[in-house]
Amino acid sequence: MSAYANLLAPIMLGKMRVKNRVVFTAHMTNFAASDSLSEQHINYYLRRAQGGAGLIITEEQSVHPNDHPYERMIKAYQRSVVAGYKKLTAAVQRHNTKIIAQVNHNGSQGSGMYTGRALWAPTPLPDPIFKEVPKEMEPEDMRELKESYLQVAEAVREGGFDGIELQVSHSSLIRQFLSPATNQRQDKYGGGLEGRMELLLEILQGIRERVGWDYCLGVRLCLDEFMEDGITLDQTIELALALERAGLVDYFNTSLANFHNLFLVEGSMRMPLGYTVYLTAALRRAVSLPVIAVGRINDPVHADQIIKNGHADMVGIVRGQICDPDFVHKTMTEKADEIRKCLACNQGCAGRMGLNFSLSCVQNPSAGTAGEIKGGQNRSAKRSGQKERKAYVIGAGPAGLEAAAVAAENGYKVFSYEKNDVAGGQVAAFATLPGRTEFEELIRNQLNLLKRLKVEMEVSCEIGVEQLLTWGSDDAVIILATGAKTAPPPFAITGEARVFSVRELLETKFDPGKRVLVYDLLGTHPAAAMAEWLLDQYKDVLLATPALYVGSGLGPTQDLPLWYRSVMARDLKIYTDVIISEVKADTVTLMDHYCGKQQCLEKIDAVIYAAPQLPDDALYFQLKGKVSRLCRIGDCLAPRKVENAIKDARDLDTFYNWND
Amino acid sequence: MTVFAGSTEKQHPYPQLFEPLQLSGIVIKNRLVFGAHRTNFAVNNLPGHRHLGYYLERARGEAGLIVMEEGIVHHSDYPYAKAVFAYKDEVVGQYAKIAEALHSYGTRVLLRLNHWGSQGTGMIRGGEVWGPSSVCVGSEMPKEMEREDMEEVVAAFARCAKNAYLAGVDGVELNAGQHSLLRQFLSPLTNMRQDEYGGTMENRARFCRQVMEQVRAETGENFIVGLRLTMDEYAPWAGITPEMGVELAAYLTGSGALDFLSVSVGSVYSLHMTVPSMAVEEGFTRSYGEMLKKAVNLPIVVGGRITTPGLANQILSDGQADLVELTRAQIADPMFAKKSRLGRESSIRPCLSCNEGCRTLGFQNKLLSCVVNWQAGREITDVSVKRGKGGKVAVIGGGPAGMEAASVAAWRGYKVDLFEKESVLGGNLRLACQVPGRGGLEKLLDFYKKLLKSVGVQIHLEQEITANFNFKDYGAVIVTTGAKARPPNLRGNDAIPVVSGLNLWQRGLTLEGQRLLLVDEDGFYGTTGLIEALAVGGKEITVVTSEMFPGIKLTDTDDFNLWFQRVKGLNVSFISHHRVKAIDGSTVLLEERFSGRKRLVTPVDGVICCEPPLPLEELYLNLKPLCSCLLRAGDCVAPRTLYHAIHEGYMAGHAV
Repeated sequence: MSAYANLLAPIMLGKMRVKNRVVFTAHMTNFAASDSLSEQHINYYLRRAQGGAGLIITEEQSVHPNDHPYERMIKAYQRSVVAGYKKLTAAVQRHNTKIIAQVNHNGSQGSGMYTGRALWAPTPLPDPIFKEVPKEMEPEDMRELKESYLQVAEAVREGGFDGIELQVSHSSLIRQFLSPATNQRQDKYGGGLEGRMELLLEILQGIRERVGWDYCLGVRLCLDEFMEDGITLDQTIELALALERAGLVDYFNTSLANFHNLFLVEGSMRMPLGYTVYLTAALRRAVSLPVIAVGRINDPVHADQIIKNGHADMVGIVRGQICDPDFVHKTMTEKADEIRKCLACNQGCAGRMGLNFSLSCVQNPSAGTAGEIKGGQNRSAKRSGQKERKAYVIGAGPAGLEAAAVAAENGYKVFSYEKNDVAGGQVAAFATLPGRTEFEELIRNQLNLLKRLKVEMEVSCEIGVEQLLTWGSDDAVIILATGAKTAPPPFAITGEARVFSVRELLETKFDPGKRVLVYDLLGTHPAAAMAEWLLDQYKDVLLATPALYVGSGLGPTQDLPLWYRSVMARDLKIYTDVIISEVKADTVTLMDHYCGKQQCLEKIDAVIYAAPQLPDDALYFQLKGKVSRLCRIGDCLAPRKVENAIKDARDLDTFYNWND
Repeated sequence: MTVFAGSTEKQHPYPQLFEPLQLSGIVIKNRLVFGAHRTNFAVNNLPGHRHLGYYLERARGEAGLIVMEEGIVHHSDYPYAKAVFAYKDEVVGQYAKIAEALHSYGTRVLLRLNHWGSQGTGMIRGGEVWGPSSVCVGSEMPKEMEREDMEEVVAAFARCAKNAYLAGVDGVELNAGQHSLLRQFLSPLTNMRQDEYGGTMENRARFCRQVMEQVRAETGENFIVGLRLTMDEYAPWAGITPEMGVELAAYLTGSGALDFLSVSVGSVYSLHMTVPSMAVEEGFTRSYGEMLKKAVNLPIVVGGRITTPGLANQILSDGQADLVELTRAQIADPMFAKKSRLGRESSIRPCLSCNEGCRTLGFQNKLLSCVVNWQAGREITDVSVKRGKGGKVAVIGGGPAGMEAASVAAWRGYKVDLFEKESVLGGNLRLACQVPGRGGLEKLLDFYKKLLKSVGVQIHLEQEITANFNFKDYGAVIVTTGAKARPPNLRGNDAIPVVSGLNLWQRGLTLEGQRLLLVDEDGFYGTTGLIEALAVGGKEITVVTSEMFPGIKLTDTDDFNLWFQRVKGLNVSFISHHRVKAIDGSTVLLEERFSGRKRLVTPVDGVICCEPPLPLEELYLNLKPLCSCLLRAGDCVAPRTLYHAIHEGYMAGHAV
């Protein structure tokens, strides 16, 4: 009997049988091409079906032309989508995975940038992110909206989907109708809950009339908006019970919040695991229909417990399956310890959405590519009769560890060397900072993989040029992943002053003193997490940056609100728009670079700076031209982010014709 | 749209502008250049139909020279999704189509070639960006280019120039201006190399010179090769200054490979100066042209905030340039050159330099458009103006939406009555003109007034229309009644005034009290202008916003930096990511948005609430059950920007 019997048991959603409780719920990808589902979508969803997911729910598809909040939106109201639907559903269903289409209209949560048209909403209240005033819908707009949902429902059915899900949660016109905060209408679609529910009921009723009562139809409800005058759990339970009584839907999927607090929707590693389950459990207790829980669930043990304890009937695991598409397969075959666990760093997935890039994953950069499809690669080990090829990887940070794995997967005998006494490079150091600890999983995942691949790794071992020249002359592959080094302080220093880079402080563990100034030239985690770490030690912390606000890089990954909550509650003194013009003993002079105004900060015990680093590339240039199969990856090529380190290593597949 | 009614052809007063010029043996029929700019029109990273229609319209409008948007020269550079890859051989066929079409109108065409270097991004292609040195100018530290990288890029420039040559394009403009690897090598701000490509001026110029010479070698004579050169990085501590620019120009010209130099300004810390808004004076780069004219013996192209033929001609006649680049002006009116030649300047649809439609920077991949010209970017899809079925049309509200709707309907042959309740036309646009630095919007008002007159719209001022309006003689009614202030929802106990920003504008900025607290929940010009105007008028202002910084929407139009610089010099302080919780007497209680921590601002003499307005839609809703052919456009649908007002007005005028 499997330890995950609850998670792997089948379940009925209406008349639709799903083979297990794991759902790949709807999320943005930016994979659309020509306003439609693309080859990339098919690769992406197919791979998760291959990996064992019981149910896949596609990203939202728009029902109406005036809803176009981001460039690569699937326009489900265009007939041309049906061909793509058929290809996708056929591919996924071959693996006995069910696939549901999510359909939506974002209402005021968009802009007219691409359409030139006014947005629709129940009441002309602008959304906090886009800040564009919407038009209060007229009766003919309401009719048009409903009809558009019904036509899309028909197209979805025609396209071979096993069901439809309406998004009525964090970004949705229907939620804007349901919420007292955004619906102040005086007509039959406003007023009390009954009026605010009317639109949803009419649409669901209409869809049933078009697709029948056997077709699987679900709604993704907003459990709580967590804001004044917003939707509450009580309202949602009342709504769910009303839908259940009317017999309109077959299951309830869940989400929460809205654009006022988007950090609650795709919680980063700062949010606790399973942070929404308490809400879902309350809903499940009240209703009889199946309920899906979603949110920072990345482990089969946890997922199984949620179901066993009756907190939900199914579990949405999105980032967990982006990172490891074989999540379910590994769970089923007692290899759960081989799952490459998601960090919820949000850098590759959610973090790229707001910038209009297509989805990726820091740990799995091939997500969504044809190369991810099983059977799509031909990783052959060494051919018989061929001499064993060797690969030497210098540096066991994220780039080096990943490169060692890639070389081993290609049949090389790999030797990995790390000069420090632990593997992990900068990730190991930075993972000790508040809000970043889950990054330790990254290194753990990589080390586990190397163990399975039987790669020898040696720490506390610095390899010199001579040794590498010897190895390299033997037609071995030399991969340098020697990382980055700290750049000199980006300001003038006179007198005795204690100045460290963030990394130096972490590695030396010096005590910076009582009153510390953090200087941020990056706008990302090093300075933010360092400031928080110092506050945790009850120091008097100041943070200066030339940027308009601290932590602009924290926005896309939904780390910003919780960071600010943490530091604003504890008296972090922030100085924006300034550069440090001089550090003189314990006095720091700041200058506002917009107006030239200067101010002095006194009695500063230490200045900690977060600035771009320099490549540690000395070894590379000593070997260049002398070793035939040499390359450098990660920060020693150009200091960037961990996702680049790993992608550089993965791209070695194309750089090296491993089997030539 | 174009209007020729009522003008007669007369001798134009711009002789220099229409004097032909030869470059590399190729005759350019006049001095008006449509400069290279990003459009986001590319399909699969190739120039396409939209480009063809777009450039063709400016050729029909008689532009002398069109420089096509940059083609990226090397696969190491993928700076934005809709970049054109000039290194893909398929471009040849596409460029050939464009070149042929433009030539048939007597317009010459160049291709800009570029590599973004360290100003690019690795987020799309997944690799690293390249630069001369490990200097991080954006958010990504570049790889310091190795010799083989540099050789590849030099060869790439040459190969792409060859592609242009094969396509029948008349030449190339090599970009050493904004967003360019070439400038990054030229500038000590970004080039710290220790080899022969860094250090002295000649060293820093070496890479650029190699590119130029290789390009010339691949393409030979009767092919124009020009260099767009940064003359001011606005970073005098280490960057290119005008003096250094002249030095570089002289040195590079000495190679003999060039046929012209084109002036660019702005660099990594001054993006807002490269295509600046109306806050920057017209023709602001002309002095750099003059410096170059004195130093080198090469035709000089000057551009930047030149929107009238008069200024363009003057720059030429003052000896400050040989060619003038009027890009945004010809986005706004593709017939600019023709109208100037025919002496119909008053009918030129004016570029406002508002940057609202044409600014395509960033990753949202918005298609280029223009606030005052609905057809910009839509040349292939737009159908010509269709005549209407005749009859009368009423337009209620004389703001930009109403003026546009009225003029379009009249142009289509309708008899149009435009009703305006005030004593002047303009609606909220009149207030918008009062925003410091936005006086350039007056041009639009002047243009509309002339236009309405020339198409015969009957204007009825001081006529407020109510639901009793007798519309039975009208075949259609268009409501364009605009927006009103959203009532502040702040709780006070009436000890100090709490007003909305829009109302304050409407009553001429009269507000008692010295120390004001202004809540910015709008982030746009109405708010930033109010802060500035009140501060200039002597008030002490504390700006509170729930956003991370005030004036957040000004970043969309490159107006933020200049505004912030100005107001920081005034008596204005900022409290960001806070909300007003309560007003108690003259004390305002604030709450920090994330932690809930409280903060007091006191004493305060008055509170101003700047929020997005509400639509004035009552008249529309009242008329709706009574009038069968009723339309509405602009802010009375949903209060948005000038772009939406004019575009919806245009569409309403077409829909009747």
